[in-house]
Amino acid sequence: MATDEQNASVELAPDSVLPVAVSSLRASQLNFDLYVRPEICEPPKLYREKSFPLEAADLKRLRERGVETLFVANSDYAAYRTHVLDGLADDSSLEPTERYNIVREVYREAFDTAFQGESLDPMLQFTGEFSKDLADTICENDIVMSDLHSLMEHDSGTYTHCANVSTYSLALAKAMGLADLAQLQAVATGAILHDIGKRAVQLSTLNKPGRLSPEQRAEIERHPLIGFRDLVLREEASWAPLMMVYQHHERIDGKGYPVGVPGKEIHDWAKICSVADVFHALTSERPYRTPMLAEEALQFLEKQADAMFDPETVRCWTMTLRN
Amino acid sequence: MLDNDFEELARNLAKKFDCKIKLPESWADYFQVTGTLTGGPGDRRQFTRVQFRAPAVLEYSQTIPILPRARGQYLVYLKDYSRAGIALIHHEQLYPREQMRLMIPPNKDVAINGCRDGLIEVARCTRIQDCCFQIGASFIEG
Ligand SMILES: [Fe+2]
Ligand SMILES: [Fe+2]
Repeated sequence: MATDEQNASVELAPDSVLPVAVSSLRASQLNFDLYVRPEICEPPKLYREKSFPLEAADLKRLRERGVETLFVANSDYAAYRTHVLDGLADDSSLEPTERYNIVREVYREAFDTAFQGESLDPMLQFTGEFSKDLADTICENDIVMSDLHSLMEHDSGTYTHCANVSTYSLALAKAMGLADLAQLQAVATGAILHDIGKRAVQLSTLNKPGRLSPEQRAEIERHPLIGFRDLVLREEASWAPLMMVYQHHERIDGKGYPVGVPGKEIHDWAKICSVADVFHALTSERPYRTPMLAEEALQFLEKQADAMFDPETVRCWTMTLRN
Repeated sequence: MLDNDFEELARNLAKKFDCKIKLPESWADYFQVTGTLTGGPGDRRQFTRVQFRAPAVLEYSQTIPILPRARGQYLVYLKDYSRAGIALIHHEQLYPREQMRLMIPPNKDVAINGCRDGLIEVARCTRIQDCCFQIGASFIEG
């Protein structure tokens, strides 16, 4: 692989690249550079310059060496995304659910990296693109929600949670009659950002099995406020998605947080996000308990409608999933 | 009226400002409360807070770009203060990052950057009941 050696001295700052799965790459002429990172603490080194096509043999060699992740510069992420999605468009044999899963997969590692970073910018660039692709995939294809649910992996990762809450919120908003694509994209954006404030919560607290101390509970309960505070002054901010971030832990009976407003003061989109959030939390693997079956989670939502959740939103969600 | 008879001052100001705050019935002695406060679990406020139950005037127009606000002056009830900020009761919900001008009555210990009025930024807001929100705000320099 002559290009590896020739360009080994070209380095980027560690925080200026995003990881991409080798499995998402197709052998073709790329229009973005690929980097490797032998050690996590080392700066990324150029692996393949865009002027050299990526061959099937290169991909095979990478797999044989056990390399699962390469990197692209932040500024090239859009080009990488186009590369993967163009491949999807060319492949008509894919089922809608497979197509959806690939869209989710494209963003997985980049999301986790952006979520854990200090700066909000890669995260916001990421969410805009993700929401658009997600809304397009879900709206263009007739994905059956129950299929989609059985497709969701059960793990407690941040990305899985946010991507799934985003998907569920989108499906629920659609089921509740929201038809405008731009608005559906905004729902997806608000939902994928809903827990952005958790960046400020220590991982040991977030993933702690067992009971939280009052201090740890208070720390976790600050995440909607922190998320709102981090996003509200941004130029691209808009009110309804922000309310999904700020109000998704409010309850209809006014006993939620951060403010404790009752149902009539909770934004409709936050009510959607709250149902989607709790549904995913109950049906996914958590450090401290085994997941509930979808039907059990629906029954929990129904029992808590009026107290925790908006009854109309719950009714719509249970109908969507049971159908 | 005595200098520190803030209940009387609140009554007078209420006529002028059409005060919409509804304090809970259990807070009947709101203006009599004195003393210092220690933080509860998870309280990140680093400075001791001192009770300061007095009326004040909050003035705001456009606060954050995406939230339309009508220009207005409102009677609010101060609750407590520290070196870094102040807590007050307001009739409507305010949002984190909103900035506004607060005018406080004379008190030898309390000032916003050394003045009787100055800018504050909302840090948190909790609902006590209808028309009663507790706002925590920090003092803004300059
Ligand atoms: Fe949350
Ligand atoms: Fe969540």
